[in-house]
Amino acid sequence: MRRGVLLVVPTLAALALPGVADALWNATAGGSTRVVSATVANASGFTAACGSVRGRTLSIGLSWTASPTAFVTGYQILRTATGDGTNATISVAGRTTSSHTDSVSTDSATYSYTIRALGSGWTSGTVTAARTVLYDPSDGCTTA
Amino acid sequence: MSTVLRPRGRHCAPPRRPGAHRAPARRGPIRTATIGATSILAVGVIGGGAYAFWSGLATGDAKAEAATAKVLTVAAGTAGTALFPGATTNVNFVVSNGNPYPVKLDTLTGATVTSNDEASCPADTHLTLGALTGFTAMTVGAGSSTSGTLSGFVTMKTAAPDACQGKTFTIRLSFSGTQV
Repeated sequence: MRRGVLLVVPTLAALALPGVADALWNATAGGSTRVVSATVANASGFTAACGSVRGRTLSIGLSWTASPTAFVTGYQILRTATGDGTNATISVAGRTTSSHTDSVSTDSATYSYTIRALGSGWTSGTVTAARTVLYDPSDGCTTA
Repeated sequence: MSTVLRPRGRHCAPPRRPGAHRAPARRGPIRTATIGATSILAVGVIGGGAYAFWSGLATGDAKAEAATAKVLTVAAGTAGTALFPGATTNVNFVVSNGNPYPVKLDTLTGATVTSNDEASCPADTHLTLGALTGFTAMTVGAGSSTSGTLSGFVTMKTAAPDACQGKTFTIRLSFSGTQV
């Protein structure tokens, strides 16, 4: 008895839809960086020197080296006085300005000066050492 | 004598003689054709997939979903100009890609800032950050690093006090993108 076996062999067709078979990886990135804020650098090399006397007015010459901070717009000079002198706050405009002449009374007094830089609402954190001028009508003006 | 008339060209069985029995059907080898319908195949295409009912053939969906790659890292770049009241500065950073393929970052998804002296100069009070939509897409090569910049991204407010001088502000950034 012979038997014939007919096999049905299928043909499978798989359809690949365009783009669906590609895998795309999502990616994320995270981490930190930084920015810094500036510091206002003060003037340097601040000095006070006796100037001329005219009548009852003594001129005191103040000078300094300009602040290197680019956004500095000027300086504030503080004068404190003992004896017959008076205190004052002197504003000096311009970052590159490097001198100022103060006029004071020739009454016997000791005048001390400090300076600090100003810019965009900030002031320099450091204040220069005080420079002192003494005036005595009999001895004249001397710097300490 | 009888006469039998037979049409021409036609084969006819000899007339049966009355009383004669029909000879039994002759039996020979039995040939059996067996059609083995060993399977029923149905092939259909349903919703983009091909299915076969044959055992042993691969079945499944034809589509693949996007997976997640290694996270790229962000680190500090070159220092920008220092901030002071009313000033704006760029944020520079470096992105490193540890994947074996390029990645295109196309969205800045988040940015936060903190001060190293939150007590004296709180960052949220005295700084503002730019819009996330200002980011320009960048591609980082496989296994490499690329520098990026967020131009004018940080501004110090004009009322920031002297206590904000000389401070460091940490900017945390997050991005999203895809393999290219």
